[in-house]
Amino acid sequence: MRDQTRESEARWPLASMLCIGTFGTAHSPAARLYHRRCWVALAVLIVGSFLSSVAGAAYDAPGTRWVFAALLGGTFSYIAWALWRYVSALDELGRRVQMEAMAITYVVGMAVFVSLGGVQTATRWNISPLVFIGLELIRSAALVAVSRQYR
Amino acid sequence: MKNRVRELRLERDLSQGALADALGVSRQTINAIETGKYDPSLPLAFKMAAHFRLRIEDIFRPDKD
Repeated sequence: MRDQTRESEARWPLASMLCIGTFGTAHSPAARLYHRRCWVALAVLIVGSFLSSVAGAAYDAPGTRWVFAALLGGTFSYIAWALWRYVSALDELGRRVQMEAMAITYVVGMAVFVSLGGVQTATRWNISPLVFIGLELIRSAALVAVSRQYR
Repeated sequence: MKNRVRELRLERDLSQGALADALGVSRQTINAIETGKYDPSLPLAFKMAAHFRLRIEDIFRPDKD
């Protein structure tokens, strides 16, 4: 006799969804590949940023700021591509949960960042592009909320 | 949509995980289908029908309302 109590509820990996925005590295080879790609991209960003700041301090070259800008844009474009590949490799319910979480992130993110834009205009506060990483927090929370519908 | 997936699975003494592996989906997907929280795509419904050697309409039926 199967353990029907255990099977009556599908457990979603809460910690993975909250901390890394996926269903966990044990979930599939695609997840492991996505996380490996993220770590490599972030390592390149950190090392590249360090080298460009050292070069900027040593040579006072304005071009190093453009190197940092390119690194930042390139890294997060690559991560976005890797995330898309990961989502494409999921099974249909996993993909649906991820897509619904992204839709929530889009509308909540738009409201939050348009509001922040208003605050920036009023206060002349310069919003760092890194604030946009906050979208990942919204996406993680949305993932948890959406997955609860399919428990 | 109502379905007999749980009943058919238990008749064959399959766990959700085993059925999920056979169909190439996650256990969460099987659970969500069985509990009626998720309706599978047509390709998955056909795969399921082929697995149980039944027709789709023998497994899934629309809600009366």
